[in-house]
Amino acid sequence: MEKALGKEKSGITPRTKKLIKKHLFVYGMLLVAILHFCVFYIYVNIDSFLIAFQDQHTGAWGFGNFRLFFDDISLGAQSEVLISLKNTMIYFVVLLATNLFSFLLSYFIYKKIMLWKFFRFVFVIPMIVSGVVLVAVYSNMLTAGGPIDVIWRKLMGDDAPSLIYSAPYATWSIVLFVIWTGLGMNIILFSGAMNRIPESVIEYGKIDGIKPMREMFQIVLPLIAPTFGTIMLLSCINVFGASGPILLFTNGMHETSTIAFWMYEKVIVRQQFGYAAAFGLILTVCSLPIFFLMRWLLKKLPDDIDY
Amino acid sequence: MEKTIKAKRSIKRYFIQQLTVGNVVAFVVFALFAFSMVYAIAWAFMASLKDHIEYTINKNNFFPENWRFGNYLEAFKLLNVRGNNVFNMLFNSIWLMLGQSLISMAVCCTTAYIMSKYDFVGKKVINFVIIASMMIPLYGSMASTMRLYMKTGMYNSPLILIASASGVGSMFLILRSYFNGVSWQYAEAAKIDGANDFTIYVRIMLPIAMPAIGSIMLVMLINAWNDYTTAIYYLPDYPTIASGLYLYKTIAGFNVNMPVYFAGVLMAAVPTFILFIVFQKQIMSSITTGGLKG
Repeated sequence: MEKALGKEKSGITPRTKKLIKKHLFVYGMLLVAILHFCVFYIYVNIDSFLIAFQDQHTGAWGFGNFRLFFDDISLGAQSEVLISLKNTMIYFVVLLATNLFSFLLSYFIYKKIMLWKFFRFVFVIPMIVSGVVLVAVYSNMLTAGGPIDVIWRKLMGDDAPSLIYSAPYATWSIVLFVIWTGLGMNIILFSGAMNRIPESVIEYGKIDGIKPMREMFQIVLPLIAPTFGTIMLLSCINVFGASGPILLFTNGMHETSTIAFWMYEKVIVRQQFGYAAAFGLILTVCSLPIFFLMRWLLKKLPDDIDY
Repeated sequence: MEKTIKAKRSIKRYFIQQLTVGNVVAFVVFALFAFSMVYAIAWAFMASLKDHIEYTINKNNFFPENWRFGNYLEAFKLLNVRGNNVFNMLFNSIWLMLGQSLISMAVCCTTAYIMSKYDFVGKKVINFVIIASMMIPLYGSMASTMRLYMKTGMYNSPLILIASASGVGSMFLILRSYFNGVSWQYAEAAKIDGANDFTIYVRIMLPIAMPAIGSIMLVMLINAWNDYTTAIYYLPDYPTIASGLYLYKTIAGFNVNMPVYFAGVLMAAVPTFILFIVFQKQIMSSITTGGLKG
């Protein structure tokens, strides 16, 4: 469209004047966003790359931060990094499974199952209410004397183990919380996407006498597949970002740390910037192959996302 | 008479239609899920009305022995974090919530509008950069972000709101696709009347987009009210309601008066809940379109 721009550069015709005016307007309007991006994305990420190779106190260049990382890994089962990595993988797998499960369940909300409006209302609650509130309620239901504990004692005749304040159970309690608060939200998102399927497509199926099962698997789900695929894809690319509200539950104790929590702990609490940046760099390098693998696998990774 | 028989038949047919294996399984899952959610809230409400000692000793009783509504008043007095009382926290919650949402909305909306309605040199590059920055995960940036905040004085200061002025993110995508659907003919007509680009944006396009902006804004406000991370990470001296509740519990440790704490927790959820009940339709539509379109 803007081919004329080059040609008419020599003499300032009214048309070029108009074009210049337009570009001044456009870039003026984008100025804040561009500046923000330059500082909070470009500068921050370059700085992050640099401090990974710098000693935080002396400013000397070197691989000290990476050495800290390998020292930690060499601790084996005691390693904070390895525990965080393991838990992150658990949250990642659970995230994918929850996505898949809610994808199937959302069909029934879309089909207006009995009480669907009530269910939808309840499913939104985790989004409306703060995580602080939900965690307070949930964790007190699980701790000694709470309803879960009472049921456990009635069934097993024995005291329940500390489900939130002991190592093997703590992570799984948080995982259950993530499913509890995340499943309903996903169902609402997917059924919302289903509502955008053109009515006529469904009607066609009905005229052909298609059965509900076939309608679900051969019409509705394939039509939603791109949405579902994109969400799964983004989850896969951001594999090391999977986490739960660790801070609210255990503050990282009882082997519940994840990579996201590890980052918080190193940056905000201990201010070991170099170490955190170095680990971040390692993770980014590790996730780039996943990114390109996904691109190659699907070949049609959207180069543009549209809501 | 005939009508009631017909109605009965249609109800019967409805139930038979509903009786497939998939429907039954889905219904059971939904019902369990909804029950657990409702039960948890009811349980917390009952707990908030109990006596401190009764709560610690006997958790088996669902209903309190004495209904202590006074717990709610006490929560106002008791919740105090690092010299901030409930009203300080409320004030922090409000300026942080409004500041974050308004700034972020203003920048996102302007970027989305320009990217949707104008063709210009460099548009493709900007578009590519926006999408790429959203897709490629960079994990280490938290450390240098914190460093930047400390160097510029944004750390532990209301200046932190500057960080909200980002033009990218899912809000950008939703708004851009909304503007894609708005006809440019309104602008053409206004141009003939002598309006310039800026007046067209402010006087014509923004009012047209107001319903969409409004419902997205509602979701942003709710998210900002519920957000505890910003305040815990970067504003230690400005506890909000959400972060204050967390900090209060960690500072007080096991000495927390749990019923009073629950009263505070439930009250913190009231504003967003009222917002949701009043604007249910808008918020629902905003949430359901939040999914990615294929």
